[in-house]
Amino acid sequence: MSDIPHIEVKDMVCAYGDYLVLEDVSFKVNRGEILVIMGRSGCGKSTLLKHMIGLRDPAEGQVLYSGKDFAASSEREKKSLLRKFGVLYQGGALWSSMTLEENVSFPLEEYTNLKRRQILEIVDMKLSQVGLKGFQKFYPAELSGGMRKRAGLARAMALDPEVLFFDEPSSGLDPVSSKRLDDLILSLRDIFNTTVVVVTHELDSIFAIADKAVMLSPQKKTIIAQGNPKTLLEESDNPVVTEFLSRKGGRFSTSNL
Amino acid sequence: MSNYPYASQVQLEETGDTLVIRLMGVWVLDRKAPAFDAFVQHGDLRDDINEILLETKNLEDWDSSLLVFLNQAREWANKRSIGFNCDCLPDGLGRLMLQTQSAVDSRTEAKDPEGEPGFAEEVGQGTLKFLADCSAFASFLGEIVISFFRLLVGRARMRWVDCFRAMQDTGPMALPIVGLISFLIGVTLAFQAADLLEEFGSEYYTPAFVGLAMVREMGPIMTGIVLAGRTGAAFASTIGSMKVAEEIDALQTMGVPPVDYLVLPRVIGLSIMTPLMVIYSNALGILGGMLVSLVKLNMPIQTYIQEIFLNITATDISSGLLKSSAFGMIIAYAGCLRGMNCDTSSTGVGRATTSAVVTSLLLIIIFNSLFAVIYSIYKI
Repeated sequence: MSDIPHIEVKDMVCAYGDYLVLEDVSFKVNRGEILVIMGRSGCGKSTLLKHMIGLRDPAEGQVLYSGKDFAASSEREKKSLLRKFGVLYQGGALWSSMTLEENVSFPLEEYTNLKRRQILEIVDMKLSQVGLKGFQKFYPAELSGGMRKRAGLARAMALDPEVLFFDEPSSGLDPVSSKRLDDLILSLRDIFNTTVVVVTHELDSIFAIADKAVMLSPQKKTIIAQGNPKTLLEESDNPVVTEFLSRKGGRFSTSNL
Repeated sequence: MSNYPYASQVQLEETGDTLVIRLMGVWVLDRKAPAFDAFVQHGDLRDDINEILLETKNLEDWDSSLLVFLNQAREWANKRSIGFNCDCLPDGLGRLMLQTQSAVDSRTEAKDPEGEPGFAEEVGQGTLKFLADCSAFASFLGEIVISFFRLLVGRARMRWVDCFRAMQDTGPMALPIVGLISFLIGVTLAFQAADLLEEFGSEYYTPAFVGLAMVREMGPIMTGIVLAGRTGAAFASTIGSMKVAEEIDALQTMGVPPVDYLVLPRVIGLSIMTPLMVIYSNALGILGGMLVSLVKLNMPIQTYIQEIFLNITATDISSGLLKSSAFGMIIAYAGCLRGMNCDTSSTGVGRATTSAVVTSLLLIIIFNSLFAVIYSIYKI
């Protein structure tokens, strides 16, 4: 394996027009690592994710995949990079006019020359993996929120991606499903050596899966800590970081929501 | 709630340089409670006190209404650097006071830092917004054109089933409403024409009038208006909701340009289907005119049809169809544009829908005038 990190974010500035969200963001993720982007609500976690998956171009700086700058790539190169991505959106983001089967087979039809029968077999497999076997003909509107999310995961996994992105995977899931999802993420990493980037503020998940975490601060508008969350909790001398990771608020936590 | 025996009461007592505020009775939101600001306005408070003490011995029940009173008092005290002693407050109330005291979040400054904008600023902002709108119009049009070329060279991923769905929605599903409106327009035109032409003894031109008005103007315009309200609005709300649910982001991260996938089939579907609908609308309008001619003018059906064929040329019909195809594109364009630029909230979808209809109606009328000018220059 080469020394080049799988994902590298270099001096990135994220902004919506004139409104600065994050600046001076730099971190690296190696192949097969699980990175958690954490921080309090409104600190720009989802914004950072949007910049990483190319939905928004950085105002300054770069996002490099195996050393290749995403924003500066040609359309063709972008497409071949996107082929290796799987993204699970917060609400699943399944296409509502299509059945689960069509949703999950979409990436396969888009990028492979597999025969229809093979595609359907893969779809069946992926749906079983997330516990939705037999739901092929259902439309997203006929499923519960948690099921939609799992179906979204099946779609994200359809092409056995090299990088999986999760936007708040445990929001809207019960504790048991949430735990199962964590286990699934770990097993995907172990089996396929997938690099995983997760946006979350669920402490249980963070400690269960993260190899590395970056913490964003809404006040400083940048990364205030990075490293293994357990080490951060033990060794960080920044009270904001330890308070977050130990679930201790200030005087009255509600006033600081 | 009205069964409470006590209303809220306040007593102020000054002992030396300390002001004691006695809070008594029941303080609930659906009762009228005293306001601290009222005391200040009445001049009930001396300026030389340096501590406020709260006493709640006879306080029966309270909710946020008491908190409002206390916050006013605290603010007043803080402004004058007077000590504000909360120690005697019941436990919950004291904690609430602390919570409401927390500092203003720095992020709120980003919103409207200079307060209400003045007239000049609003005009300036309006102009900038208009320019941004124009540039969005142009770049979206460009994207559609590029996407169309991608389709021509076979590199665009477009689902034809979406195109057929758009065609079905614009065509067969809209037949009843387009038919009814066109028929009634034909009837109205014929009545107006018959009355007017009768005065000159030339009521036999009624079929020509109805026919020409229908195929050149009323057919395309009425169909355009109905489809803008029906289909354009549906496009905007469908695409807008997809945007809210991140479905469009999902397409993009899958490497599929949303314009290829969502906009192109609709634009193509509508530009094919609208002329077909206009033919239908023309026929129904002419039929309406025929009914009036038969009843009011006693004109035989055969004569009416003969007159129509004598006076309407293929150029008349095709000029109407040509512009209706443009109207179809406009409706799909406006609907998709507003949907794609929709704010990610449910009110955003509503706004996008409204604005899609308004935009397409406006553009239809503008383009209709342009077509009129061009046709008149080239004598079509």
